[in-house]
Amino acid sequence: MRLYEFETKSMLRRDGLPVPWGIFTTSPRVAAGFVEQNGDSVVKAQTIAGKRARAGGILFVNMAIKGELATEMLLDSTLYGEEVIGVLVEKKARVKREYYVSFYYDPKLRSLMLAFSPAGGTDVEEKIKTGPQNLFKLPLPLCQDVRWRIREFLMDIVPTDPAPLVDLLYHIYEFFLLYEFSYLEINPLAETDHQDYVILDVVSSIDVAALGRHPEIAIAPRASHNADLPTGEFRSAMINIEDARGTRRDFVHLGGDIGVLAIGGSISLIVVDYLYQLGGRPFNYAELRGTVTATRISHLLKEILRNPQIKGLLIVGASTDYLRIDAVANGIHDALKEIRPTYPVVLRVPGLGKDVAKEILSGLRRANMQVLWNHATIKDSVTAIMEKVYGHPA
Amino acid sequence: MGILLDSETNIVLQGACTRRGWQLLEDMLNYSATVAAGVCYGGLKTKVYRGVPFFKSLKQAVETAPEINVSVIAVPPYEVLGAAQEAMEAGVRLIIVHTADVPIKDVILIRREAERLNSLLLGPNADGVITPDVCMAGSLGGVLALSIHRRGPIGVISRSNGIVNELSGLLAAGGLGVSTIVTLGTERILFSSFVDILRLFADDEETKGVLLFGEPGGAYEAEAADWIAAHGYAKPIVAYIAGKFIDNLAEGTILGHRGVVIERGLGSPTDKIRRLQSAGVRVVAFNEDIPAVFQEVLKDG
Repeated sequence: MRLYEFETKSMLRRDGLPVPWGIFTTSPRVAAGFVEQNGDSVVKAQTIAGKRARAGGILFVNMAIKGELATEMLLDSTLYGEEVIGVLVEKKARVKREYYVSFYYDPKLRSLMLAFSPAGGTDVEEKIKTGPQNLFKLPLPLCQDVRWRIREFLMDIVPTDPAPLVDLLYHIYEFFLLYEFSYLEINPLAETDHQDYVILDVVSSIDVAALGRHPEIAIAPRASHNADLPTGEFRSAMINIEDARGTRRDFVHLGGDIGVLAIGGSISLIVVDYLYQLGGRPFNYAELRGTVTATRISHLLKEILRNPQIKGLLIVGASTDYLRIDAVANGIHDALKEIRPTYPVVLRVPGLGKDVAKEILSGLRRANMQVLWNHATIKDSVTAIMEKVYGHPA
Repeated sequence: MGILLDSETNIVLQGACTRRGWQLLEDMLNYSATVAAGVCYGGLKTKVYRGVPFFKSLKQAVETAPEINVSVIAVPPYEVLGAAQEAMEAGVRLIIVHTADVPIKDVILIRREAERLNSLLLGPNADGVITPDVCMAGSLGGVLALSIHRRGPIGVISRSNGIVNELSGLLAAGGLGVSTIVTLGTERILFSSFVDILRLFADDEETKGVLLFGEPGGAYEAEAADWIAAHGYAKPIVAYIAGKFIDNLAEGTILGHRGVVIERGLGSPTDKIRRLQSAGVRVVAFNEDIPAVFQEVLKDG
């Protein structure tokens, strides 16, 4: 679960780590007051998306009125399609040198890693791409005093005495593990004068699986950034917050005309792939995981079916172990009964409990609905809906 | 004879009294797997169920049933670390973590212990392992397990759980079957990867070919491709990678860690396919093609 910059910074500050003096606000007047008191400041739009500087989400101001205007402007804007929920106004730092620092888990090594680059700043990505030698990585064991490792690691990288930096990085390492972050990227970590360090920008993700044992974090689990969720109502239907495939979302609008509801791990990925491969145009990607209830199915289906560009609906189930087929069938029944689509619907129902499903769905019998039982493959079902919608076999 | 399970497999179910644990127990017993003991950490609701004795700790279970060599863990996520530690210390050689949403820090700590104590772990969120007609540890297909899986020459390694039942059904319908199916789990950091299991299938006489099922995200398919390219593999490997459409989404709808430098480009399905193909793996466009491709490559071999 990604945290906003101001959330991460307030946690960092609480733990005694160096962040600039600043406030989070949604009021242009409050922002103006801050600039009035502190002089040269930076107003930073709070969104989950990265690369805010490039999208105009970070503005430098030197007068109260400019702080007020910048805040107003940012609050009215969207960055990469994402609403700005407020601004962080901070005292501008005097920067001598910029470093890039991140902590993350390497899935191959199954290890926590520290990545460090002396070429920090907004264009670090390009610098690393063109000169991979600019990025240094160090595996770190968990819950140990790793200061000597960090010292040895930094010795040849930084031009100055690494001691203060070692202490700081070790402190961040402890912070990372204490609150169970899954990712923490500081860019830049600025060196001011006389080896004073300050964390100017931070992108972080907290391990949502661990959130339940950290009441002190006091941030409610939330869906990750998703710019193209159709409605606010849809948000409430989302239960899964992150997933290992990195898709981190349950619904992606793809812009085509065949609505897709797939039930069972990976099945939705396969169905959307098949549609594209066979020349079809899926309207959406939707993934249902966890406990599948009739309400969730019906809710998701109705969200899909309400869209006027839909010309066909494909529902694919797979032989998942504990899928409650009655719940699936009931959910489908409810949604189709309410929306009454006039376009074709193809359903593939897996083996488990198909008799129950048959009975529930029989109340829906419609001319444009085709039910395929478990001898039909996923490809069969995709071909069937394409024939019905586009009038030609795939 | 397949891998990981045999007629000597004696399973302990840690977390037998959780809702999912109970379901797993039923499924394994219905498949005639030997479940030597169940462990209920929250206290015993019953002492024996369908002939399986229940205990309050793994230590007690192992004292009574020293033949235990495989564990299936179905305890709540924050208890997995303790349960896995207990199993590893008791010398259990194969541990399947069925529980999902285990904190990453715990996964890393468990994996380090597994390296130290030489245990093989699967998961988190791995449905289990099955060698048809021999044993099922965990549950692949629930009540359908008996009817879906047919014994045959193909070893299956998958990052997805539900899909293995589809794949196994396709292989059976195509006149093939499976030697052993291994689910790796679905989380970003897994205890074991394709490579760990490929090594085991390499030495299994019954396995004539291996099927890999991969997904977007994570590093394990690419790792497998690099490993196969570097070491070669004596048996044909066929792969399917789901989620190719993700690579064609416009920037701004990028899925994953946006703005994260380290992981940029990691885990793209197109990249995985390219690497696997250049390592000599046959990557199929449709799962439905898998049986025919195996028939072809096995005949050639």
